[in-house]
Order: sequence, then structure tokens, then C-alpha cells
Amino acid sequence: MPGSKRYLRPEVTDRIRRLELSARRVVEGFLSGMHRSPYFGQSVEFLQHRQYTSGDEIRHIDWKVYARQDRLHIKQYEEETNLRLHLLLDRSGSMAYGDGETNKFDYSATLAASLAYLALRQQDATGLFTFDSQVRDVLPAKSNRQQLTRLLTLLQTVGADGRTDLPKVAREVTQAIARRGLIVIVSDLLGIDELVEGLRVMRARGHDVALFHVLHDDEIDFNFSGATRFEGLESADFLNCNPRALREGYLEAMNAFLDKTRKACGRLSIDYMLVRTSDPLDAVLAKFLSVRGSLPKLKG
Amino acid sequence: MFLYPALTAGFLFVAVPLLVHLINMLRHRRQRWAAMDFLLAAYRKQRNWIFLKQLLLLLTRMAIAALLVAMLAGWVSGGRLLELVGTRTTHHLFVLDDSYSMGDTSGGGAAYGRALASLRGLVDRLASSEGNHQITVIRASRAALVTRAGSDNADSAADLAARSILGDASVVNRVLGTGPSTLRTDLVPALELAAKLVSGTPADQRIVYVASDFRAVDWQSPQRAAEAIGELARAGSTIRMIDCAAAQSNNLAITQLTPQPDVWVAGVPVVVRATVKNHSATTASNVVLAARVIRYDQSLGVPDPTRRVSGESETLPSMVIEEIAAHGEESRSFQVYITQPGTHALEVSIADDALAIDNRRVCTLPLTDLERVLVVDGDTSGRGAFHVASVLDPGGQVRTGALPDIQSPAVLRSMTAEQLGRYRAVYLIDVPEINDTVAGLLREYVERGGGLFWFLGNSVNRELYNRTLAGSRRLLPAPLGDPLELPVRSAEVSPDVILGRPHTLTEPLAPIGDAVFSLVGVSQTWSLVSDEAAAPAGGDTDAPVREVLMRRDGRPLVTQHDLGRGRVITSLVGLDGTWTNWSGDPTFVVFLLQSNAYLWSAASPSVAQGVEDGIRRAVPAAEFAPEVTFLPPADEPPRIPQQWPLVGEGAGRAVVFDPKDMVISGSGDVDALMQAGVAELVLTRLDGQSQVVPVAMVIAGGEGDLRRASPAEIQRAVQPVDVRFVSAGELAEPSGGAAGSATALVLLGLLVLLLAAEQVLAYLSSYHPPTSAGAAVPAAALAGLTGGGAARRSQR
Repeated sequence: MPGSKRYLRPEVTDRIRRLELSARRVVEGFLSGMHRSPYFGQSVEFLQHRQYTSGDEIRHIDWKVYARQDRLHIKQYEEETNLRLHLLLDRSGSMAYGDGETNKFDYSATLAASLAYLALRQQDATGLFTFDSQVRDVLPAKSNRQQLTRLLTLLQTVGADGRTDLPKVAREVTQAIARRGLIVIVSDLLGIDELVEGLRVMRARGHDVALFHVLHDDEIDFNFSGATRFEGLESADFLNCNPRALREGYLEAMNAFLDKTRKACGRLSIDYMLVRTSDPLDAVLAKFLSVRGSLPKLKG
Repeated sequence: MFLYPALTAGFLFVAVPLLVHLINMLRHRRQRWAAMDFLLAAYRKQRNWIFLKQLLLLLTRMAIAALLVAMLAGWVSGGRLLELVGTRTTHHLFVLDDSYSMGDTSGGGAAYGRALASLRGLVDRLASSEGNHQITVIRASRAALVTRAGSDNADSAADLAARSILGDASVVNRVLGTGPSTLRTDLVPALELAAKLVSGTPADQRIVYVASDFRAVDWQSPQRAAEAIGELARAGSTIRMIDCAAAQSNNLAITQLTPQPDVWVAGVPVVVRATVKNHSATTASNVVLAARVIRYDQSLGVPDPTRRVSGESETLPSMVIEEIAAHGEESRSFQVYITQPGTHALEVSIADDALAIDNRRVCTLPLTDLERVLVVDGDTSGRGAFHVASVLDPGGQVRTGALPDIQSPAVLRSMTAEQLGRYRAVYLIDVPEINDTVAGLLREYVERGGGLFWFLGNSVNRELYNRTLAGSRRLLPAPLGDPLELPVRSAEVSPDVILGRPHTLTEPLAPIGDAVFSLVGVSQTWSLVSDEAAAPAGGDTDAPVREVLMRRDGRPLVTQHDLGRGRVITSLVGLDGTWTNWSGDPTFVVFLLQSNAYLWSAASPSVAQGVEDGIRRAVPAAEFAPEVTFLPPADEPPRIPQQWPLVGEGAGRAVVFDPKDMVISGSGDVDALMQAGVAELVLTRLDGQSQVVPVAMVIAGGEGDLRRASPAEIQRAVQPVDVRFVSAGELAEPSGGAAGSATALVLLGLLVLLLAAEQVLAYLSSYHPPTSAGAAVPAAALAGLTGGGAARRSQR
């Protein structure tokens, strides 16, 4: 990939490495607290045996094989080997809000990288789409060892800008994905017209959809004070105001939006998680996977 | 109005909240924001309410700034505004005692000045007080003039009548420029007129202030004053007495300066008597009485306004009064010798004390040339006329001023009133008969001021005299009775002639007593029908008959009575020597000279005018031009000449100045014209020659007694009315700004309300700091949605 070679400058490779380390730290930290390895998918259809590796669930060990061969093998089921994870990362201008670790895009990219690391670690195919008003970058899902590097490289080269058109993006994504899989959307959902329509498009193709609604603490709490001129990140709108005077009304509108989104996701059987950029990512992952593990598998 | 106008510049700070607001609008912190849609939605929903709160907050802060500045600058003029809602009207009536005793400078500064200061202080307070205030000022002098003119027009007396006090004390500036008057008056006229003004001026509240020195002499008979104060109280007035006098000081006053009744003839010395009264409780010692004569030459035609007097002054030797007892008086006489006929002026003075106005007094001295006297002797030998003429005109260097004109009785029958009027006195000696015509002529002559001396000898026709001269004509003291003999006296009894009741005619002889007549013999005199010579006859209301000299047996010998403006002396003996030898006795000379002076003085012009009496002087059209210039007295020249028109026509034309009429008509500056001292009239003769005539303006006595009535005495006198005494200094002191005024309290209350409102508006506009660091996000809205329970970001 010419782009990855171009972006594999020392500082870029350093950032990729740091992102990988961050993702690994998140995942390892997450995994260290778990008694068994999580799987994205679980199926009763036996597919094949493979040699046991550290982290595999003990319950999947085929003891008969062990008895015969004196080597540990686990049973692989059909879904395990067929899980395709598609990460949809919002790169619109609103994702540029925040500084440092709380920058929404950086946080979202780290979250996506962590999910990718987790999936690829289990040889699940993982792909990445970045979007704003349309799909900007596509990394088809693969499960080889270079996929993570490619994914991380892509994440490093992406910036946040532009508005968001989710229905259009959803149609593009679903057209690009041949087989059903798990689509994980990481976005702040701000400035998105027809959000529900876009989600419905994805579910209509039978995909399993999870939504990480990433918002900055400021956007949730709106604890500003003092005369402030708010300037839009995705538009030329601005407003001079005393933010404390508008706080109540803002929170009312924000809460209504969040409630509407949550309800929409519920109706569409989309796993919804509201994430603050101040929340530790390992806790977010743990929470997410816990929710995923308690939900019945949906068939398209 | 503002008590501290300089601080009103602080109103510029009212713009500070607006400026801060505008500056804050330019100093917004810029914040890139992703969730603009929600922010804009919130703003659109609350835009109007936010704008309204911001506007109210800004206006409240500006109002607070304005109120603070107004309070600091002492804004007190709520009167106009409060009038709109119908505030109380208070009528303040200020009775200002300006009698001349208020010129008392005891204690530093005149009492009148303290009264004016209290008036100024009162008006200053009222100008800065809420409510509608009206002021009326009545000076006691003007009230006295109005009352003495027979009027009860209170508006004429008032300097200010129910004038509204607006903003400052300029309404009383004219009154503040006045000084104590030259009048002797108490407060009764002013209080009575004040009662009329109070009843005629509607007001919610009435307060009467009486600014006076409260002299005991004014409050000795307080009945009328108490009645006037009672009427004021019954009208609902609150009475406040303002004590303007300081501690009482000693005071000497010149109470009299008059030439002695005599022949006032140029070239004849005139005796002038001056009296000094000690109003103090201690004896006054070594009082120096200075005197000067001011000569007005008849050729002096142009007055000199740059000097106090236009005549030439000549200082006379000072007199020292060794001692004047407490509350006593002493007189001193001195001679004035002026050779020029005309009206001259005299002035005496003592050292200035607490009350200076009564330390100086003037009078005029009208000196004529030789005056003719008519001597008619019924005796053909002329013996009686000889005796009279030789006394009145002894000849040689001696001048009495009289020029005897001896005539026979027949002259009387052909004499006209004009001819008779040219004689200064008429001596009728033993004239046998006086017919009705002559009697009428004589009565008219005496009534016009002439002097008549009867010598009734044995030639007198008693019946005719009684018919023509006694009775209603009253040319005789009483009808003549039979001649009465006087028995020859023995050595032990009193002389035939003794002194009668004390009289000017016998003043030179009285110190010696009856013995002065020891060589005078009287054998017979006429008797009078009524023994009570003091009883008037014929129903005439003239003065009684006084027995100047009497016979040894108590019957009258010489009587004197007044008739009209003139005087009549009646000797009940003749001068032919048959009934008495008196004409040869030295006492006759003294008595006759004294009698001549006495008869002349009846028609003497007045030597002084009271300052309130005004001036009336004849300016006959046949002699003078119809314009008169008047120069009032002035302590400090220049004097301001005033042109006066004349009233009347022909011989009755006169120049008239009456301050009472001027006060009622409101014409002219009465105060300037009622000054004590030597005024001057400039008359212009028809030949073009002007003549300057002095007029002596004098004050009435009585105000010099500075003893004071105590507040307790006055309160007892005016009971049951409750009056409150305050010192002049209490009202003169400034009120200390707006402290205690309702306006200041109202402003303070408004300020507190506005501050509270500002805080409420600031809280509603979310300017107050938040009470906690946590987000106020409803917990239910986020339940189950957040991905972690880790610490939230702290608020900015």
C-alpha cells in the first residue's frame, strides 16, 4: 500500500506503534481481568480443531483429542472462523473536538484500533471504513498479520473534517461488504441527518451493528461559564452567549437527542453505548463485550 | 437640587455598566464547538427571555449607579415630583422684628443680623425639604406703619406673601438686604396682620416664627400681643419664638435735643437742652456729650451729596456729664449763637455703644430776623407800653429779637388779619374796649399760633370784655368778676405775689421762691368768675387755665391758657401803677422776657420730625418753583437726591412725604427715607435762587431700654398657647445635608430594592458562580447509557 509506505515515516511509525501499544494495553488489560477469552461470535456448528493457544476458552478444549494425542486442541465453530468485523470510524469535523487524550477522534481511533487488535488477535477478519459525508477510506476486512498495521496506518493518516451523511455512508458500506458481519460504528453522531435511516440501512442487510456514541465531557455536561463565542466545527454557525444561561436548554436538547438515539438503537436491535472521552477504554470494552455477551445472537 | 453639586459629575458613572456590558461583548472567549445544533436550539428557545433579563439587569445596574451618585450628591429636590402626588403645603410666616433695638450689637453682631441668618437658615432648610413650602415675611416696622395709617391691609405690610420656596433661598434675598429700621414699635401690629394673612392663606400646616429681641418694654403689657398670638394658635398655627438678642449690654441714649422755648432770632443766643438717659443697671460716669452746629447760610443753594450735611459744621465745646444714675437721665444746656437768620441744624452725640442709633440726635434751629410785636396801651400816657417796650427792646447792644410797635387802641379797629399776622406777639395793656370784630380778629390770630398778653387794669370795661372775650371765644381765661382788693400785708406774711403752679414762665424765678416778689405790692386785681381756673369755660376743649402767679390770698394774679396753636397770658393787674408796682420790679423784666419767648414759641416751627411722621412743608406757589429735591440722611455719603412733586395749589401748595402712605401704596423705598439725621430740602425760588433747608429726622425714644423679657414671662403671658423658644443660631445652622429627609430614605429604600433586584436578575441570568463542581445533568437521562463509572471531567 503506497499510502502506508508514505505514512511509515519514523514519526508515523512511532505513532502506529504507540497506537498499537495503546490498543494492546487496553485489550491485555481488559483480558487480564477476564476468566475466559471473549469471542465475538459463538456457534454450535463444529468446524474444525486447531491447536490450543493461550487465552482460548478451556471449555472449548476437545478432551478426547487430548486423550488421544496428548496435545491440547480446541474446537472451532463455524462463526468463529467467519466473523468479519467492520469498523466505521466517523472522521467528520465534529470529531475534532477535545484536546489531548480527550480528543474525540483520537479516542475513537484508539477505540477502533483496540477493537481491531482484539479481533485480529483472534484471527477475525477486520476492516475499516472512515467516513464523513461519504466513505473516505476503505480497508477491506482481512485476518492476516499485516492487517493491523494497515489499519493502524490508515488511522494515523486520517483527520477529522467535513459533515456527515450517514444514510449515504451506510449504503456505500453495505454495498462494499459482501458478507454479513459485525459493523461497529464509532461516532459522536453530531451533525448527522437521518441517523435512524442510516442505521436502518445497515440492519436491513442483516449486519450486526454496534454503536459507540463517543462524546466529550463538555458536550455531555456543558459546564462552560463566562461570555463565550461558540463556533461550529462543521458549519459557520456561531453564538455569543453566557453558556450558563443556556445550559439548561442545551442539556434538555442533548438529553432528548441521546434518548432518541438510544430508543432508535433499541428498536433496531443495535448495541448502543454512550462513551465519554474521559472513560477508560478498557472499561468501555469490558462493558461492551459484557453487553454483547448477554444479548441473543441476531440472524439476518 | 443637590446639596453637593460638584458630585453630580458622578452621573457619568451611570454609563459604566453599559460600557462594561459592551466591552464584555467584545471579550468573548472563543470556543470551537461540535454540538452547535443543540446550542442554537437552546438559544432560540430562550432568546427573548435571555434578552429581557440582560436588559433588565443592565438597566438595574445603571439605576443603582444613578441612585448612588444621587445620594452622594445629596439629591433632595423631591418637591416637584412629590407635588404630583399631592404633598402637604406648609405655610411659614416669619415675623421679623426690625425695631431699632434690633440694632443692638451686644455679643458681636447685630440682633437683626442674627434674625436674618435664622431666616436664611430656615429657607435653606425648606428648600431642601420635601413637600410644598410657602414663606411670608412681615417686618414689624412696615406693619406698624400700615396700622398707624389706619389700614389693615396685611399684603401691604408683607415683604413676601405666600411665596413658594423653589430650589433655593433666593426668594428672600431682598429681605436679607434690609437692616433694622429707625422705628419704635412692638410686635403687636405685625402679629395682628400675620393673623389676617394666616387665615387668608390655605395650607395644610402653618408655622409662625417670631424673630425678635423680646425687650421687656415691649412685653410689659402683653395683652394685645397675647391675643394676636392666641388668634394665630386658634388658626392652627405652631408658634416658634426665635430669640435673636445676645447678653444685654449697657446703653446710653440721647432722648431729647430741643432749643428752649424762647425768641429764636438771629443774633440772640439760644439755649439748647440735651438729655441723656442711662438704660443700664449701673451708673454711667463721665459721659462726654459732643455738640456741633451746622450753619446753613441763606446763600447756600446747592446741596453737596458727597457730604453728610451740606452746611458748615462748627464744633461746640463738649460737655461732660459726671454721673448718670442707673435708669436715670441727666440734661445739659448749652448756648448756640448764630448771627445769620435761617434754619440751621444742631447735632449732639455720645460715644457709640451697643445701640448706636440713639447715641446721636439732631434738631433744627429756625432763626428769624427781628420780629415785630404789637403793643397797644389803653392809657393815653403810654406808661404801660413804655414798660413793655423797654423790656422787649432795651436798646444798645442788647437784643431780645423783638421790635415793639406801640399803637393806640384805635389801630385794632382798622387792623386786618394779615396785618395782625405780621406781629409775633400782641400786648394789650388796659385797653378799655374790645369789640366783636377785634375779638374775632384776636381769636383767629391766637389760634393760628399768635401770642397774646393781656394787662387788665382799672380801665377795662368788664361787661364788654366778658361779652366779647370770654365765653366761647375764650380769649380770657374766665369771665371777669369784681375787682378785689388785697389787704395790706404785715411783715410776717408772704409777699403779695407768690408763685403759682410750676410753669415755664416762672422757671427763672422758681429757684428763688416767693421771696423774689417781696418788693412787689398789689392792692387790687380783677377777679375771675370761676375760682377753679383750671376748668375750661364755654365748653371749649382747649387746655386748662394755669395760674402762673397768684395773690397772697390764693386768687389768680397771672394766668396762662392755650387757644388753638397760640397762647394767651392774662395779667389781672394793669401797668399804670395804680393797682401794683410790679412793672418797676426786676421780676417784671424777667417775667416779661420769659413771657415773650413763651408767646413766640407757640408759633415756632417744629425743630424735629419723627422718622415715621414724614415731612410736610409749605411751598407757596407765589414764592417757589414747583419742584423740590430731598436728600435723606445717610451715615455714609453719598446721599441720593430725590425729586418730589408738590401737592396742592397756590398758598396751600406743599411738599408731602408720609412713609405710612408710601408703605400702603408700595411706592418708593420707605426704608431709605426713614433715616435719622439731618435731611435737606432744596427749594427753588421763582427768581431761580435755590435754598437748602435742613430737616431734623429723629427716632422715637423707648427702644433704648435693652432689658429683656424672659421666655418664661412671655410664655406665661401668652398662655394657654404653647410657644417654643429657639435661638437664632439653631435655625441659622445648616441642616447637615439630606440626613433625616424623607427623600434620602426613599432613595435608600430604592437602592436596597434595586440591589436585591440586581442580584435576582444576575442569578436568573446565571451570572452567579455554580454551587457545586458536579454536572447538573439529570442522572436518569444518563442511566444505562454511559460506558464507565470513572471520574468525569471536571468542569471548566
